[in-house]
This record gives sequence, structure tokens and C-alpha cells, in this order.
Amino acid sequence: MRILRRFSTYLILLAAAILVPRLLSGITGGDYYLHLLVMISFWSILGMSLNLVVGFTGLANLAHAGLAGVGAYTAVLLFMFMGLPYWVSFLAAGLIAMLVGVIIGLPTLKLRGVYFAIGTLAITQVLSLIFLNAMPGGSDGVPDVPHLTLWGINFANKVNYAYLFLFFGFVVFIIIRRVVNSRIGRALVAVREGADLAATTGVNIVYYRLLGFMISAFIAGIAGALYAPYMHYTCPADWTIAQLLTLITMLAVGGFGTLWGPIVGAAILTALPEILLPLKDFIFIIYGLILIPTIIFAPRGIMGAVSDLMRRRRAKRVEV
Amino acid sequence: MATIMEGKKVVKRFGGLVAVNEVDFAIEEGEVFGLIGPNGSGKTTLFNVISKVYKNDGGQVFFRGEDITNLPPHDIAFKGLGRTYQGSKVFPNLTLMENVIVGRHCRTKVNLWDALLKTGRYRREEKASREKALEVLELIGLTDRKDQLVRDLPYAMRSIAGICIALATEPVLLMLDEPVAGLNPTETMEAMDMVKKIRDTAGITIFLVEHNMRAIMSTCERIMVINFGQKIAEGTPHEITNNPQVVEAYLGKGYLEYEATETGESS
Repeated sequence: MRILRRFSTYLILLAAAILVPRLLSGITGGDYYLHLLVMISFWSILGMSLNLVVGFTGLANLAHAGLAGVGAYTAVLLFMFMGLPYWVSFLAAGLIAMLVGVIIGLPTLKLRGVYFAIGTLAITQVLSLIFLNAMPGGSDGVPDVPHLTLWGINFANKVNYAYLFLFFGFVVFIIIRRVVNSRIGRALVAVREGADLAATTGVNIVYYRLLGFMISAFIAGIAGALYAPYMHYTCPADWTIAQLLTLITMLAVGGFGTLWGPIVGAAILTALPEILLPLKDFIFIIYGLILIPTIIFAPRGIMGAVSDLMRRRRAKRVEV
Repeated sequence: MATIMEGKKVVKRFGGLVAVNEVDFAIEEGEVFGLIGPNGSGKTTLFNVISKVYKNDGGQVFFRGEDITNLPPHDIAFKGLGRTYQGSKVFPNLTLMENVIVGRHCRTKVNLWDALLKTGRYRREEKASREKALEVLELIGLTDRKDQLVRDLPYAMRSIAGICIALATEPVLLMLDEPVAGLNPTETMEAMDMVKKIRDTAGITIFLVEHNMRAIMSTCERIMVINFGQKIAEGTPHEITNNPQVVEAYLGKGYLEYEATETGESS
């Protein structure tokens, strides 16, 4: 029983993750909802990994969309054009994205604040140009990316994809949670809260900045490698500043530096455009209309506000 | 008593300004060593050079017999040098407990795999870190505030929280940069008693920068005075208060002349 209680959150999530795709596949128009579920998982994975650098370490990293693109193109090149098994290309996508992360991290991680933002933004642009000019398909992208076949399972249908994305979302959530709740996570947060103090307290700030950046880039690469076969397609326009801005908006709404923030943000900002489909042309205006009140009324996002509320309640209970 | 820290001709320049100019000093093990000087005389700069927040432009610093001049700041912390900052610099958005646990970083070893797999070492160190942090809070008397965000604490406590973080690193030398700035007289007395208590119970050598004269005179065994980046005096509190150069630096030449005429008339 104690074990059950200790893992109760995980068990509830697991049960939901197993049941929901099954149930959705039964109802009419279920494929559409499954697609939403996949998209929410995809954005959550990207958001959680970006959050490690932006929210927990406090670095305005604007290279994340480009790194996910590196993962997508690496996977596509390796398994479509070189015929490697999918799981190999998949792992390679994470590693190459991480390597690119290190290469761009070494010079840029010494920059502070807005200069780091500008430096990484430039890298997103450079990567965009590489996707456009040096990758197969050019601006048209690579069509007909075959569906995944992993462990003998063909992922041609949406239910299987939903399971796959949920599984990875779950794994990434646990990775981020364990990192954050450890000595490493505390070092990352200390760097965010005061780099000089962290350094003289014994934290090797250059090492931890780079480590956070590498973990984040690895996950981004894998997210990209999952996305391309699901969409059947990848093109440079999938990995530009527009995607990055969407991602940042999700984090801001959900809450920078919180564990659930990226998931809440991804859910809201993926569902909203679907609900407001008639207003599709004004989507960035709508993002702005969500973003501004959140920043004014809940500067630490929805989950930041929730955790503040919970802390205040706990403090009150202690006083009583 | 053995020398725990020694500075030899330490120099720090900012462009044309020489903020610290060939300062020599030696701190003995177990003493409370004070550093005073007028505003802008280079006290904090000297602290920053020693702890490697700044790179020095000349000279050497020895700590426990070892040259630490070219080590990065986290290595120096690992070797047992703790410090606080002016204006109660802490990690504002973390709880007091979390702040103090960050101080355990250099005494723990958990790596990425330990954290991901929650290995035995992870569990052991997490538990030990919490215990050590509680021990520090107990010594300082802030245990009941441990779950509060540090940014919500009163100013005086935030300043003490900075000391708690440094203590959690298990330093042998603790450098305190104006720990009682902005505190009222009662709080100042309490803080100074605490500094002595840290030295007496934990045996930690203290290197103290302070503006509050009463606080520093009643706490330190030896004091060094710098002005315009240069060392102008060193000695016991009594010697320092009677040193004409020090009085001049603080109160100006005019005061000395005035004092001389005053005493001349009365005799």
C-alpha cells in the first residue's frame, strides 16, 4: 500500500494515458482528438526541455526550435536516405542535437542576459538557412517521411502515435522532475537566482549551464525526430522563430520554472486555436491577448500562481 | 597560531583606477579579523578578488598554504572559503531551507545518473544535506522560518540567511561583507554575538568588512584599514582608534588640526 501511495500520481497518469487514446479512438471524429493529444504531447516535450534552460537556469535560450529541427532532419536523413533502423536514427537525432547544442553553447553561454538571447536567436536563423539550402527538399521540405515501425509495431494509426508521444512525454516529465529535484536542479536554479553567489557557494556555473543546455538539446532533438514521421513530412518552416515564439508563449502562460507549466501551457495554446478556428488568421493577436494579462496578473504563469496559492495556504495552516 | 590566509601585494585595477593597490595582509587561524575603510576604499573589491568574483591584476592570495590566485570561485569554496555579499544577497525565490541546501553543493557528489536513477548515493546525500541544513539553521536560530521564501523574510533575516548558506559549505574561513548594514542597534548586537558564536562553537575564522564602528571594534581582535585601495594601518581596535592616519582618513585633516587646538587650549 505504501508503494501504491508513493506512486499514486504516476499510477493515475499511467491509467489515463492508457485509457484516453483507446476511448478517443472509439468515438466519431476521434482521430481529430487523438491528433490534438499528440500535438499537446509534442509541444509539452519541447516546452519541458526548453523550460529546463529558460525557466530553471534562467537563460533566454532562443535556439530551441532550431535544435528540434536538427533532430528532425538528422532522423529523416539517417533512416530515409541512409536506411538505418529507426531507433538508431532516433538516438542519433538526440545526440546530434546535443552536439550542436554544445557547439553553440560553448561560445554563447558566456554571454549574459539579452546578449545570450540575441546570440541564440542568430543561431536559430543560421539553422533555418541550413535547413533551407543544405538539406534535401529545400524550402519544400522532405515529403513522404514513412511511418514509424518500432519493435514490430507499425505506427500508421493515430492511436499508436498517441501512445508513443504520451510515453515520451511521460519519460521526459520524469527526467526533468528528477533533475530538478536533485543537487543538479538546485545548482541550475542557484545559477538563475544569483550567478556570483552560486559560484562562490561552490557551483561550477559554466559546467551547469552547459549540462542543462545539453539535456535540453538532447530532448529537443528527440522531439523533432518523433514529429517528422508523425507529420509524414518535415520542412524548414516547421522549425523557425514562429515555432519558438509559440513555445515561449506556452511557457509564459503555463509558468516558467514550474514542472507542470509547460504541459498546461501546451494544452491551452494547442486547444485554443482549434476552438477559435474561425479566427485562425488572428492567432498571433490572440496569443498576445492571452500573454499580456498572464504577465500582468500571474507573472509566474498559471502554475506559478497555483504554487504561490498553495504555499500561502500551507503557511496559514501552520499559523493556525 | 598558524596563518590561514595571506595576501601578497594584491592589485585590482578598473581601467585607470587602482581599486586595490598592493595590499598585504595575513589572517591567523581562529581570529576575527576586521577590514574597514571609508566608502569606495576598495574593501568589497578586495573580497571579490580573494573569492575570484573578479580576476586580480597582480599579487597572490594564499589559503591554507596553497596559492589560490588562479583558481575558479567554486574550487575556492570547495577548499573551505565561505563568503557573503553586501545587501543580503541570497537566492530570493527559494525557501530558506532550499537556500541553505544549495550550500551543500560542494560537499556532495550526486551526478546526472544518480539523480535520474535515484541511486543509493542520491537518497543518502539528500537526507544528509537536509540534516546538515537543519543543523545550520538550528545554530543560527532560524529553524521556524525554514519553509518561507527568502524574499518574504525581513531584511535582517535575509542578511543572516546569506551567512547560513555560507556556513552550509563547511568553511574554515568565513568572509562577511557588511553583515549588519541596515540593521537596527539591537539587531546589530545580536548579529555580532552570532558572529562570535560561529567562531567559538564551530571554530571558523572570520574575516569581516563592516561600516558600523561600534560593531567592528567590539568584535574584532585585529583590524586592517584601507583607504583609496592602499593599506594604511593594522592593529588591535585600540591601536586603530588612536592611529592619526586612520582618524584622518575617516574625519579629514581638519579634524586633526581642530582636535590639536582643542587639546592645546585645554592644557
